Amino acid sequence: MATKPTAPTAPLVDLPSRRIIVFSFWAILLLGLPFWWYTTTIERLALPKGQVSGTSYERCQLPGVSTLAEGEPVSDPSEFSDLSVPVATEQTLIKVAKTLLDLGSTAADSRVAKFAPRYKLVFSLLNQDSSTGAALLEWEIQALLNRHLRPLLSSLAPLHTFEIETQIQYFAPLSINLGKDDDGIIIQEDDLRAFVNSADWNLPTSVTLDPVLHFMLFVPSLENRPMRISTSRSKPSSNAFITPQRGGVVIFNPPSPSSADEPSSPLSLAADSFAPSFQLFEQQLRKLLGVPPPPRSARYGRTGALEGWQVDAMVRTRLAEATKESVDTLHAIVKLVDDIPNMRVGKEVQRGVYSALRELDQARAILPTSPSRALSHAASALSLASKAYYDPTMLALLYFPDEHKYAIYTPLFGPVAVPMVVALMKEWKEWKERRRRKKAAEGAPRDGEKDKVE
Amino acid sequence: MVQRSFGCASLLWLVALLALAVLLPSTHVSASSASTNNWAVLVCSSRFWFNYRHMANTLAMYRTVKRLGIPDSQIILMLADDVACNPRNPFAGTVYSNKDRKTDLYGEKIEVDYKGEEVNVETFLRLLSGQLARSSRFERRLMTDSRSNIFVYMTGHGGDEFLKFQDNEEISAFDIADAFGGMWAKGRYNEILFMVDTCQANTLYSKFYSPNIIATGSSAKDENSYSHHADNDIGVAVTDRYTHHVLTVLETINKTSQVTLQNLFDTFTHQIIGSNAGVRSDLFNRPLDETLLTDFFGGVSQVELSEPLGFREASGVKEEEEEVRGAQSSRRSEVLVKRIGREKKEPKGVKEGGGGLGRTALAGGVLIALQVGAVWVARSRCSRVV
Repeated sequence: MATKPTAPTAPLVDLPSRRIIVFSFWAILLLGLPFWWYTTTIERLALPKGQVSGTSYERCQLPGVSTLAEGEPVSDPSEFSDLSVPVATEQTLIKVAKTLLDLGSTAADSRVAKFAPRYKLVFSLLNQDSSTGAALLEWEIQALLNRHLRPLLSSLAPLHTFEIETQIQYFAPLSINLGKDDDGIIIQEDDLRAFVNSADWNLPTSVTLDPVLHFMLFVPSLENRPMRISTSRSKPSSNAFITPQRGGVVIFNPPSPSSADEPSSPLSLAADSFAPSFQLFEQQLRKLLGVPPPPRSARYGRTGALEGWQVDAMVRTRLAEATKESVDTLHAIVKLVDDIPNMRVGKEVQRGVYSALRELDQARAILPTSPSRALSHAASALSLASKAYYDPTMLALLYFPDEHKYAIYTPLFGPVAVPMVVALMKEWKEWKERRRRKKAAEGAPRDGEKDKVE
Repeated sequence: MVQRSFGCASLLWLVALLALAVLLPSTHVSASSASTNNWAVLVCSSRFWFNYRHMANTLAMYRTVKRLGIPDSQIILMLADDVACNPRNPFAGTVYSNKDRKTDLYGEKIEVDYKGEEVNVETFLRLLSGQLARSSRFERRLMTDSRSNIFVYMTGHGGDEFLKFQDNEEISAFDIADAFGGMWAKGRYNEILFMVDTCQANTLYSKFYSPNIIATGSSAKDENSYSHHADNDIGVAVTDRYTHHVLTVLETINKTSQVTLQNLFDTFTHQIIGSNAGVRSDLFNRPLDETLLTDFFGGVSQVELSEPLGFREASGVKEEEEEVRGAQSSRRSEVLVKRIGREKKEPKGVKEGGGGLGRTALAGGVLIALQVGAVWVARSRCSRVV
């Protein structure tokens, strides 16, 4: 035959190119799949979960045998006599021993500030209203600090470093109601909660993340002197109080100006006049840092430098605290990652967790020989764990349930998928059809032969 | 229609939960707040002039928590901050939440920590979890610990289980619940008071799961929250009903007030607020009638007097002093007893007399009555719709 009759359903393009087109679309889709998968998967590096959950606070606790003073291992209360603790009776001795051995495990005193390797201490001299006269506009702060606080601070060197800031304010109004009786102005004990007027007193905050402890020497204005705190209890109290974990306040009533002085001129007092107030500050600082009180009968350790055992006890309390907190943080990281499947876990976090665990191990290993070095390891474990927890990449994607995913992917893939699948099916049908026809074409001559035979 | 009956069922469920929430705390062991510092996170999630009231709500709340003693460094204020200096504001540079225009909320010392487009879902969640960029300043961080009480206030436009942030994105109830969950795991709070004023506000706290959270919202599911009143000179509504009411109550207390959360919640009525304000306290383990408002709104929860110098040398009183360390908890409960004692003596404030049990029974009775009412309403509604 000279001309082939064209089929009425002939495609616009010839067969091979059509196939190439259809399959190239599919090829792109299939090649794209791994990219799509890779780019939408949340990076979740493995965390040493077993190791973290195996690290319990108890495992990091201190052994029963402890060193009370450097190089003097004590395993039996009777060996306490080696120490230079001038204790009176055996009873007291055992009590002291108990206190010391329990310190690391007792629940934290709620007054004590959270452990930090660095604290900022702010000393403020606050005049309620210096315009009323007889104000205190200067204090020999350097000398006062050197005399009253330096010894304590230097003996705490194994635990903390301190940054000290001082300020003098001329106007620091109170926002509570003052009472009055024959002896002067009184403040009710319950009102002390509102004594520190942070809205009006410009108390400096930290520029770093170190905790701040405030010590305020409050000087009432001239008409409000003498000011004292009225308590309901019979217990004697000073004109001072602490707010747990925050700092302390001492109300200071300067001696009344002599009649010779101009009443409006500021007072100038010798450093000695401030001595009781700074001793109170020192006492307050001890409470806020958790310095263990010396035994009742002891005649030392009230003020000034600390005894070795006090520092040691503090090291152990803080070690327990830091260890507990870092273990808790590590647990929190693992729990969060487990609970929130959309949470990303990057390299930084993984590295932080591993290093924190390593530091904890080192702390445990070094503890019998040097508790203070163990503390510094525990402190860095804490900072590493916290850093890992607070890593900015550790934010879960927003709540993203499956129906949201369908809602996003269906409008995108639905319209694309329909022509592609239809084209593929068409192609497949045609291929089958062709094969059938080909088979038929191959079979036809045989049939013809058969016919011939018949 | 199916959805309708679903709504009815969940309304019943909510009422039942509410009843449970009020009845439950009486079975818990009483414990005093162990917090030593209070923080506030105040979020206005709207922007634009016509949402003036949300900005005013938040600024009024800011003023109140500051007045009650939370220092500015411990208040995180998130505000679009586009109304005070809006060209449409006839009183430039001011924001008022009352048409009497007595108190300029934009007056002095306003520290807006996050403003404009910084107020978004991600920032809010990062703020809560602490996962901020290392470079962010300390004033913009929530540096809380396991002894911090946090007051979280949010206002804006919301819906069922979400709150809209600046017409741009939404935060869902799950997101907030997860953020609080993470905070609890890391020991970033002692207790949280979550307060939200938006439409269907009560759905926003329905997904919370971590302990020591008390939540309250302005309206139940499928309910709107309404504005309180408009100022004709400003030309827009200036405050919302729920917030206005809460602020009115807070205005009556001072830094040393003994008014409790229960006192506040008892004042919520449909008549005042125009919607069913909700309270969720099943996660909270202190009785609400022993939880002071100042435990969340105030600055310092407790102080301790220092003993005079040389005090310990005096004999006789020494014993007592030695035991102070160990007897922390008993001291606290003593304080608590004192608080309660005084509360009874001076029935000042919003609270009415009557012991804890009587009040719980009363509340229970009221709630059961409310539930019966709600069932009736819901049924009639259901039957009408179906």
